[in-house]
Amino acid sequence: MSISKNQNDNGIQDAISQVQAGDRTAFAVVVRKYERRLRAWLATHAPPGIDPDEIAQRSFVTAYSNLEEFEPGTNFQAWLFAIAKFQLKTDVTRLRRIADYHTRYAPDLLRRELELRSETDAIDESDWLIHLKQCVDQLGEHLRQFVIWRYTDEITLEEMAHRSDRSISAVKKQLWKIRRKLQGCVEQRLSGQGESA
Amino acid sequence: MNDRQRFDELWTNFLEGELSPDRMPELQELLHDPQLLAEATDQYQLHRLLGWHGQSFTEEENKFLTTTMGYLPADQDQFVSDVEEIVSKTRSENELQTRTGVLPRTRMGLPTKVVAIAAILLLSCLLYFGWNSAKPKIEMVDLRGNIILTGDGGNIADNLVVGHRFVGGTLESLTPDAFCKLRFDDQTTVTISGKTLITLSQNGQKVVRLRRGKLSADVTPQPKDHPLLVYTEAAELKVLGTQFNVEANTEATNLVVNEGLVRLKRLTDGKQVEVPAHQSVMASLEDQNGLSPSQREAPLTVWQSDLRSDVVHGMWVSNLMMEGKSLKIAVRKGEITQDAAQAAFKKMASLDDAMGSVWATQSSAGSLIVLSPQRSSQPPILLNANTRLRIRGRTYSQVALQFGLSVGHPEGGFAGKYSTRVSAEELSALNKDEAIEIPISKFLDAMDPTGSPIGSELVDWWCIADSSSAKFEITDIEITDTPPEDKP
Repeated sequence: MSISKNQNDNGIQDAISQVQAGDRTAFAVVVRKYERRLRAWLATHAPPGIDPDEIAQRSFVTAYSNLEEFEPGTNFQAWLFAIAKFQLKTDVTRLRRIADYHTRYAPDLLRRELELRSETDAIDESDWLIHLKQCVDQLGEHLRQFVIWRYTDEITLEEMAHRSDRSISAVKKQLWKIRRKLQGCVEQRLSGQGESA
Repeated sequence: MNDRQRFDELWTNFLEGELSPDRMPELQELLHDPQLLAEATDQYQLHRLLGWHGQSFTEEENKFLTTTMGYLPADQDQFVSDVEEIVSKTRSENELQTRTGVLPRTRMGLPTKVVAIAAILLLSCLLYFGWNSAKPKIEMVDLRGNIILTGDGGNIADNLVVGHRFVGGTLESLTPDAFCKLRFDDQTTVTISGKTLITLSQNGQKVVRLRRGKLSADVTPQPKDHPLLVYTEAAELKVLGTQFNVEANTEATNLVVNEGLVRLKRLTDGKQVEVPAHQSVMASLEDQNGLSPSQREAPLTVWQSDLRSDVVHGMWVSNLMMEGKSLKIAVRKGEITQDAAQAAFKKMASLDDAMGSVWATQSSAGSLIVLSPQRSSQPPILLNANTRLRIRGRTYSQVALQFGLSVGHPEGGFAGKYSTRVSAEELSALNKDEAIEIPISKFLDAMDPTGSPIGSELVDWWCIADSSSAKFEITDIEITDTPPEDKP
């Protein structure tokens, strides 16, 4: 496990060296390596009204433009995430200037809580993602169907109500229950993992 | 319907994008319950992750990669080779056309297109390389600590020395003990101090963008139609000639004018105010109320920290929040029931949540706390020979700490940085609930042993460990002014 990690890290260090030597295309290796975890982290820490993918792209572009500042051998992921956190903070500040932000996008307290978590949460959410996937797989077929409709097919509540022969408010309630169930499942798995460690 | 059921309904509607704006205040009110807020945020994060997880990874990832690579700026070499390619292609075409006698030739025998492109290239080079040398420069006249300049053409310099000259760029001081004084050709000076990030340009008009931190400026008379402009997240300042200090963070800008007049415009609503000498004003993104300058108050020689308001770097954690988290963990571990935790939390919620501490957080120089007394105390704090700092807190790592002070002149402007080191052994008193006291005479300027903060005003206070993993918290800081004979 550690050998493959080192190999990966070496691959990234090589790619960074190539970019620093002028090979712009080598940066694709860096983007491929970190985009998934950066986008996942931003998706969970950006308040409504901010496009996490836009922040992720801006972070990669900033990292590329300032790559000379990066010290070889140090943690590139931590450096990239520090850039992303700064970009996110800048955008959150911009949002706060919008007079009706609280009524148009989100309650102010949610924004503040997310800001606080973005300072304290671990930057690698891969455990969370793995557990979430397993928890979704564990749902019964019927409940999993709701998850697919809502989050993969992105169909409307009306359409979901029609397909499941329920009222819209029943569908909303069902989605609420599913999210709670998934939250509990992931937390249980994470705490189990912590205990076994 | 009780609060819990109402919250469930409103939050579901919010996540489904079906909450009408007129319901938002009710939801906001319910979220004042820390437990509901934590739950709402957990659900929001799960909802976002499900949305992200539901996408088709391969397709999305390829799209993301292609777009991101497309946004990368082309470097100079790439630009030159692209232009060379175009020129050589054009030349080949023209030579072919010349051989076939189709294209009229210039007097010098070169095709017009090639001459035009060569002229554009020459002009570009002149503009890029030559123009800079004719432009007015900014000179670093004093600097200390870790400073980085991303300057002309995007070059990054971190080995800066006094006398370094540049046209414009982004200057960042990275550590609390760092500062840099800059002088423009017209003798205007700008000093940045502590963890500060500014961008400077002077295309016929001096423009300073203060992204975060503190700056102090002494501005010589500027052309009436080209005042010096200072932009922050919250405000725009127009300066014709004056001495002023500005502190900006992502939420607010505090302007103190010592001489002359500065016009401040709040960016959220466009409200403007003229701030004369010896007055100050705060422009905040949060507070949309009045924008009136207040008179500078007579300085005090004592100060009691208001940690929640004063924190610039570090994390404020209320005792209530800590207790809430402990209860949550206890429920997760099965040590107490959810109901018992809720009851315990409700009981605690009646306590004063202004009680708490500031925890050191990581910085490039080590674990760090920075406090600015100006955030909670209107009167300036004057340091005199009897000044002593009384500090309370806790350390969780066996490390020495450096305590420092940034100070300003009473008449305005940056006056220096002074610090002292306290060993791990001396700090152990903190863990016995004892305060440590440091007399002002212990604070020294490492580069100027004759310097002293006595007679200056406190701008900010910092505490830093060499290691970024060191853990410590500050629960209280006090400045006292007790003559030696009065001491018990």
